Amino acid sequence: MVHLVVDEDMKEVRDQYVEVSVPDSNLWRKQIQTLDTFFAGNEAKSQAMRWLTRLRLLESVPFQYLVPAEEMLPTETIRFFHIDRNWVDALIDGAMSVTLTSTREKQWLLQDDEGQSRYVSIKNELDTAENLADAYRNFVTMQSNATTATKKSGGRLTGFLFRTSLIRDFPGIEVQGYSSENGNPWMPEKQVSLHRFSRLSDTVIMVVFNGCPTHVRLQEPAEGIRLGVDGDENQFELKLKQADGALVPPSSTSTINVRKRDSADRSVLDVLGMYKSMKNKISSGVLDASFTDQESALLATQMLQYPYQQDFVPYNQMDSVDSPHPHKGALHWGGDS
Amino acid sequence: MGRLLERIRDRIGWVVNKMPANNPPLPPPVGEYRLFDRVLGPLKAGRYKLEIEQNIGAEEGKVSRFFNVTGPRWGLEAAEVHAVYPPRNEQDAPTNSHIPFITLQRRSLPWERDLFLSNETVQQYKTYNQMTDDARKYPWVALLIFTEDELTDGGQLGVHKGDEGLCLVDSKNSIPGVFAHWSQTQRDGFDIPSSMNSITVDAIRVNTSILRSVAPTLEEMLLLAHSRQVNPQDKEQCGSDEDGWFAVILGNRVLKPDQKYHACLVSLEGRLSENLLPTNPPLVLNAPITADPSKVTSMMMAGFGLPSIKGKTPAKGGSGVGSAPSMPSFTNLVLLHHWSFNSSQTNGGFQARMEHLNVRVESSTRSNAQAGDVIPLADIDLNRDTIEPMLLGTDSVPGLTANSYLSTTMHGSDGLQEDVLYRSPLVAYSEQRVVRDEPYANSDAALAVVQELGIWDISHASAFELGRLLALGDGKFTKAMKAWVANDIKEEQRAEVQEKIEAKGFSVSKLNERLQSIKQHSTVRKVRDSRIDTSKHKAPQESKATEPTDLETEYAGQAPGGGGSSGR
Repeated sequence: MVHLVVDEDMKEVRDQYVEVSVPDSNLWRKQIQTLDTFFAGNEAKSQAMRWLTRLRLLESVPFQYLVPAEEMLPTETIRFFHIDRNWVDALIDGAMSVTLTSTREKQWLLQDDEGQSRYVSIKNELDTAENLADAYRNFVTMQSNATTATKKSGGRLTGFLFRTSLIRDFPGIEVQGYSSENGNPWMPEKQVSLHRFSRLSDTVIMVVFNGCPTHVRLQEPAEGIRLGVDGDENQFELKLKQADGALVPPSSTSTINVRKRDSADRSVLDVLGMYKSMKNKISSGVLDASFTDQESALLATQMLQYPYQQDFVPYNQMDSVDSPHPHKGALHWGGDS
Repeated sequence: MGRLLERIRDRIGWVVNKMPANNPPLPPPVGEYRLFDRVLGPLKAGRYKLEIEQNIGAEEGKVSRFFNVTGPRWGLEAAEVHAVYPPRNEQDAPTNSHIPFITLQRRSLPWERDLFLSNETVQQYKTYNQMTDDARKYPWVALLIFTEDELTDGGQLGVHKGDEGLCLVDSKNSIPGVFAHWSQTQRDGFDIPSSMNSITVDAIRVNTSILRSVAPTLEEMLLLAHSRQVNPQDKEQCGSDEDGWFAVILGNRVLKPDQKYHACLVSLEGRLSENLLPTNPPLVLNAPITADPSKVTSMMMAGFGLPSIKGKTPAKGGSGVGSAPSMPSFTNLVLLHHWSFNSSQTNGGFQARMEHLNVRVESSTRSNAQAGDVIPLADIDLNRDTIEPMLLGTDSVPGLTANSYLSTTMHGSDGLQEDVLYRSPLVAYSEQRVVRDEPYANSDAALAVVQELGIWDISHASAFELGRLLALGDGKFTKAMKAWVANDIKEEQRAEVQEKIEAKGFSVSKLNERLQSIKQHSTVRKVRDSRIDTSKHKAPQESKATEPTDLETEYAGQAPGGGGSSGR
């Protein structure tokens, strides 16, 4: 029999703490292929190849090598690019050359390794490895979107640099790329997987896609979506939403009037009153019964505003009726063959 | 351990009841998110004792173990805060409809401590009957939004942070400590022994009646905290440390224009008996302060019934019963996180900033827009403007060619300068990958000449040199790479030796065969054989004969039943 007793006799026995076991938070690693499993078996090779993989993703490349002129990326701009793989291959050549100094070592690189030179097979392995580097993202993507999780290895890489104070002030901004020639492009199965997503400085992010999206969407972070009420200070109101986020069709019962405290500058909202009104809307059937036992989640659902999306699309689709969102930006990749 | 684990699982089970079937639920689909009333850890912060008893027949065993569940109490590490809204130092915070909030990195943080003291109950303080009586469900933190004026007294801003922080008990710069008004017994019971009296914490000092006018009620505190699960797939920090779970604490106040605001995440742990939270604030429907709110207020009160006020006596020698009159004029609260921002008439939210991204006009039929003008996205007239593609490195940038080459100068080792072209790995146009069978031997080999212009293209040479520099700068990499190559070469050399041996007939089996033939055909063999034979048969007999008894007695004592000593 085990009793759990809170806070007794603690003074004498402070040094007798018992470690409490923690569930294995790395369990997910066993469900996908990672760099560790890909290079398992040869520790020295594994270490070296993992380093080269990071270099492949341009991780340690200084910013001025990526953007050699300040004017290429002014403040508050977004700039799309293709990655020149020849440049990256030269970078890898340089890194490997450091350790390949003797004739014997140089020969080693050119030796036959199962039908091709070792140099070529290292490049091929890096093509696969760079897709495995962002392991947790691969895992999450596999869970929610299997088509996107399948990455092409050694193919075309594109992306963008985004320089804006938004990055600093709205951490967690969401980026999606879609590849579509016609029809509604914003479909999960048309999503292009992310290859690298990293912050280069306080206000600059670099996103690389594994492929070439035609449509790119930047979205307000879901954990940071604005909350609030509608209307103005003369009369605040809440437009009711159902559990799936859909607005209750406008009618005389689809909103709640929000009261304020009669103190300070009358900007303090009557939160409890809003909640009581919502409960009434549930009992009168305006809101889903699934809300019945909810408390703060119900309030948050009703106060959440829709996240803002900024889409970038090709010129020829800017006015397309197939794309359900207004397009303020044009994304022109150019030079595609 | 069985029972303890069970209990913990029960608690988790309760949380999961409100979640979808999986435990923990997988991230929601892209573009969706889930809201939860709260996420409760199995145990709140505190000290625990685990008693284990076991009975087997008449035998009885009992043992105690102690452990601490720890969590933030006097402040939050920067890493605990994921984001704040409006952003820190925002100059144009949106007014009128959006409310400030803070997003915490850990989903269970707001419920990890007890809001109530151990001898207090929810019923004692709540005024809305239908709100839960489960003390665990109430968060211990609240987000308070003050204007700068409200927080300023006698010219001093009531935000005390860092070196300016207040002591837990002792006075500092003639400001009493946060818990100075509690008795020593109360503080001991609250885990503030006198040794902590002079510990400095971040705190706010605010006029108590202003605090009561803006603070949420107890029920509202519960309503203003929730947990959220999002899909991290499309985010920057999609790492194992960021699992897509957050806790969000909302403020309860919309913003007025042209004000400086302070948002303060404060701890209210154990402070309920001080009557800091309003219980039945008067309400109005319309904003204009000139309107007579009394009618509306009384109507509202009638509508919802007067709140039941029962057992309002503070649990422990607090500052008196009921409301304001007997309360101290100023209250100090532990400040867990603070940021400030300004509101203005302009809306400066996410959308506004996104719409102010700059683009260049390529051509326009408008009179007020010309090619080359830089305008915000929001100002594009889709029907009359064509904007330049937003590509990195086009000839709209001075010094750049249309295919992303930058004209620059190279300083040779001889001190001479030469005009060259450089292009980054990020280019405006798709570049075909040329797979080489061999690496560049050195950076000179990676130089290319631009035929039309007769000047060097140093892009690949620079990349090669950079790769060298980065590799040289990382000892771990060079060591690993060296080891990899050296091991391979050693392996190859061994194989080569083996091959040569085989080719020359020096393999082990062949050598053995050769030895056999020597044995069979050589006369030397017989001489050696006979010698070996002699020693083989004679030696053991001799040793046995000389000292049998000594050995036996010696081993008998040391190794009873000892095996493996056959005399060799």
